[in-house]
Amino acid sequence: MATYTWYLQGASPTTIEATDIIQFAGGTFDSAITVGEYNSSTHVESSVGADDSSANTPKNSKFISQSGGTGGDSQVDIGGGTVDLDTIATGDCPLKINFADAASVTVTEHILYAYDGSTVTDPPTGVTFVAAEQGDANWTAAEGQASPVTVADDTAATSHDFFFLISVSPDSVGEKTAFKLRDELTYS
Amino acid sequence: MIANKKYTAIEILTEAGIEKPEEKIGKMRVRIGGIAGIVKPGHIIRIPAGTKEVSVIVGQETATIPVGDDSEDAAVSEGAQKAIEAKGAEATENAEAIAKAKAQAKKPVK
Repeated sequence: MATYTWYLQGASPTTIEATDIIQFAGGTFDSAITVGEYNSSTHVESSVGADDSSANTPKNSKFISQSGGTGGDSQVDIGGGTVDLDTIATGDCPLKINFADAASVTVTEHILYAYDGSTVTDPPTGVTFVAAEQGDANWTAAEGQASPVTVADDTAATSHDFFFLISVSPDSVGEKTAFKLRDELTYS
Repeated sequence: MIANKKYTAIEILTEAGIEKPEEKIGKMRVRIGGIAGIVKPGHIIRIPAGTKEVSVIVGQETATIPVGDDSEDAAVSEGAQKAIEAKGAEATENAEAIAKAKAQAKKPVK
């Protein structure tokens, strides 16, 4: 049977369960992000509002620019200042997704994007969301199924790890809940 | 060729000893490591950590490439880097178009 597991990486990884929320915040859990600015921290929030990643020093990736880096690369801050997006190592990417199967399978047509939580083609409401696969040169405005982050195809293996940088900015004040992440892939 | 690294299809076919691969991609059936339907030379393919060999099929030709130890962290070949940069340029154009549309939508209607 195939398994599909999401983690927020940190000093230790926090497994993101189906009912959990990935919380993008200001400097600390539950703190607000100023409109027009990007997340300074990322957390796993349980369905009852607890900070499940508090003991794990979770990673964060903050959008800095779309093309202001070396040779038009995007820029990011993972806590140590501005760097080119494509310099980030797998261990520093906040989001890790593992897909595993008992059989050796390929993974193709793999995409990641945010949507409004009800219609996959609709962008999330009230936020600007960007994401990148580890090693990408530029952020993708991954809002809606039509403009996802496209992930490189994987040759056959029983376990596949994928690493992503994710960042979000509120377009207006207030908590944003019409906002979900979705990962799609084909294995065979 | 090592595991935990991204390559382009053309790089893998060249490594496999396929003659004139650029003339075959898009015209003949190409299958790399079980991935079917490869029609572009710049198709980015990752060889996952732990992989020891990759099979290649081009038309009637078959080959198996031995894969060395895993790269310590995820790595990218020179060809794949160029393909990623081209993808990034498209992503930037798209992001700028989305940002422009959002800014337009925020303008008050007179």
